[in-house]
Amino acid sequence: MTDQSIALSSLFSPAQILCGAQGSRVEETARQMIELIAGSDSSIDSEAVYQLVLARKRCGVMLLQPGVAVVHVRINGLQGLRMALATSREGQVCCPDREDYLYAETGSVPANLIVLMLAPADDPASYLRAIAALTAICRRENFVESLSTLDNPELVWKSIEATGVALPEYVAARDIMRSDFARLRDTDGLYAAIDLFCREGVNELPVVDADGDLVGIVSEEELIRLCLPEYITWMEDLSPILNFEPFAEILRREAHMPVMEIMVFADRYATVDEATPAIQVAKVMMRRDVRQVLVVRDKKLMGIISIQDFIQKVLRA
Amino acid sequence: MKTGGTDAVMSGRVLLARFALLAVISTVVGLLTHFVWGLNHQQTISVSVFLIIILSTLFFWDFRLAIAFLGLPVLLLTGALEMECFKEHCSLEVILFLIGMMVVVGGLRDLGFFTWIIQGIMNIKSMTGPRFVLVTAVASALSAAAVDEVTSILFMAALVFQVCDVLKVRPIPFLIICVMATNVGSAGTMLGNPVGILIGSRAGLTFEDFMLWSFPVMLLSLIVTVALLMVWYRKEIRQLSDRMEQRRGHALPLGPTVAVPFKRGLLLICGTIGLVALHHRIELWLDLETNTVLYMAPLVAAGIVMIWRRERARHYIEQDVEWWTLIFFLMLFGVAGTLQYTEVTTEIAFSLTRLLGDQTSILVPVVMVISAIGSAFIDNVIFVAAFIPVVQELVGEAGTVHPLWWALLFGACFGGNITMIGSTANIVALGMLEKRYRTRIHFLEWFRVGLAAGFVAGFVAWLALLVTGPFMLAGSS
Repeated sequence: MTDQSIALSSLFSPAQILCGAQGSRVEETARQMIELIAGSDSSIDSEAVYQLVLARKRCGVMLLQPGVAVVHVRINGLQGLRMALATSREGQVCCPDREDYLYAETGSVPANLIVLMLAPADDPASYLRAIAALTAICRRENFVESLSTLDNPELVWKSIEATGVALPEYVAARDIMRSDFARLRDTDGLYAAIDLFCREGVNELPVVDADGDLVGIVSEEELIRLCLPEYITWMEDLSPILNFEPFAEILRREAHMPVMEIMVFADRYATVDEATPAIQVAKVMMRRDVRQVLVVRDKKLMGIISIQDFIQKVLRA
Repeated sequence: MKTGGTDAVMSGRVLLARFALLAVISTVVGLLTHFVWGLNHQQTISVSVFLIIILSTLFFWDFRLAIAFLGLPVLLLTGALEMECFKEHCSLEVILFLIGMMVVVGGLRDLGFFTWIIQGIMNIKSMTGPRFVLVTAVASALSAAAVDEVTSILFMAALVFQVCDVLKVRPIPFLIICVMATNVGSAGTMLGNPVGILIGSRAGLTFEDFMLWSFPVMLLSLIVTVALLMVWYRKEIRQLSDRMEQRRGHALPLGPTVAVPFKRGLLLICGTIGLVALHHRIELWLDLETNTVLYMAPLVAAGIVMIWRRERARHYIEQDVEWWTLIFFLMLFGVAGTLQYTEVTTEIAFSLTRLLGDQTSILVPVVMVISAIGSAFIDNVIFVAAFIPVVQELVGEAGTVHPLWWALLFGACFGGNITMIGSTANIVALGMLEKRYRTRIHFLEWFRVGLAAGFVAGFVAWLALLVTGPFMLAGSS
């Protein structure tokens, strides 16, 4: 069997599926799921793995999408990926004390499908490919809801097998991008851009049009350059601007200035197609010396991959 | 003030390949000069080593100084150059002149002089695309004539980038216009280009000679060059006009402006240019050697700047003086002496007159074309340093103010427009463009318009020399 034809359903069996999980917290269910995996693989120390889950609590649980939680742990010496699934009709709370945008967005929606992944520590690709396949299944309409209503692990497994979803040949940009991020509209004003910079704490914001197509980027550097262009910074004696006179002009006009004022067009920034291999994304970042890359489908902005996303997903997957 | 260069690290293979190509070319040329032209061994070595140094600026921009350092001992050890000849040709006075001007430029920048000029341009009422192009072209040319081409393009490029970023238009056409105007303008005075001061130094020309014979020709050439470029880029200029009008409709400026205390900078530049302009009168009055005051004027101005702004004095010397380039010029000028020492230049001059006769009316266009083509592919300072002894032979005892000197000047300056590597201003502008926009100008995109611009400017200059040449010769005799 080649890598290209690894079905997602082949990574686990009905014996690693827990239907109607009891309890209200994902961590409790994770312990049971670890036991299910250990039951068919004696090399796995269930207690040690559970401790790893608790130790990685802050970055070990990911909300794939509303209603789907993924618990993942990297284990040294593990040969191949191990998976277990649990369903919960009522839903289970995932890490209420975590502060991340994913939780903030979806924290109020409990997880009906919990996936446990034990991945080899030195093989980030296997986890990411499995996540990509899982994402493809979970995005199908009502799929997660229908799974959560099934009482029989055999039925759950067959439902997943019937989708025919296989692990992708390689990890693509779409698999590691963030699809939930701050953005501006091309009709927004400078006022909105400055507010968003301050609120989100990012240093670049994409600008899209009414169709969601990427139009350009605004950055904090361009904002400063708007107020302090190069020809002003040549002066050694800055006494004419000690009281931020150039900034005052911007503040007077920010309500009327369009965001286009500081926008640079998208062709000056690094963009990749969503099907671009993730390793290519890393190369683009290094070659273009940028800290984030925009992921597009044709011209439509689909997501963002920052260096931090890359490090988190590839090195700490 | 930094000039252009490449930061790319060359792989070992590329390095070896280029070095091999360099060695092959200079060997082939050396053999041709020996077996075909009949030059002796010393002359062959002289040509080969000098060619290596010139070509190193094409193949090994970052190593050009190292190659110049290595070239000198080869010439000395093979008897193709003597130390006294090297010292005589180094043109230390030119180097000192350039040092002084670089310090003055640093002072002007600190004082906000260039900021004031840029803001003045941006604040012009009812600015349109054609008006912007005219103003920036004239400003580029005049500032190149007043300070130097590199400084001119540094601050004019900043203006172009600012306006184009604000209006969201492609900056390349407007940058090319400024660069070409800069190159044309640099022929107007001795200050504009090291070529000018070098020719002035060797030919014994004064600032007044430049103002009389060169500046008007520069203005005429500038007019035709700008006219050509405005037609060439009419679409982009129209787009710029439209965007400017839209912006005016929203009552938005082209950029922030601040109150700049410009008078100090204005005093400095006027004082420096004034002293340079009057150097000949002062020299006559004090019975000094020709151009003594000329070379010292920038140093006087620099000294005043360094006392006035003493907290920045070290910065001006360490950061604003382009030592790398100056040392290269020093070596280049000195090593170019080998061509004269071994009488290669005499042979070249003799071959030219044998081929074309000694009629000025024929030699002028020939010298102009040769220097234009040479400058198009090699930095114009380098080419002129090599060709000056040839022109000296051709001019002979005919007098200081001779059409051939101006032909060399115009050919070298205007020829710098033909290709994107033709002058330092071009390279600096391209470096800035690449750094800011991560984009490059295609060689052909530049070459097409550059060839046209170089041709029209050169043609006008040639016509001007046809008319003024007899007056120059009459004045000299």
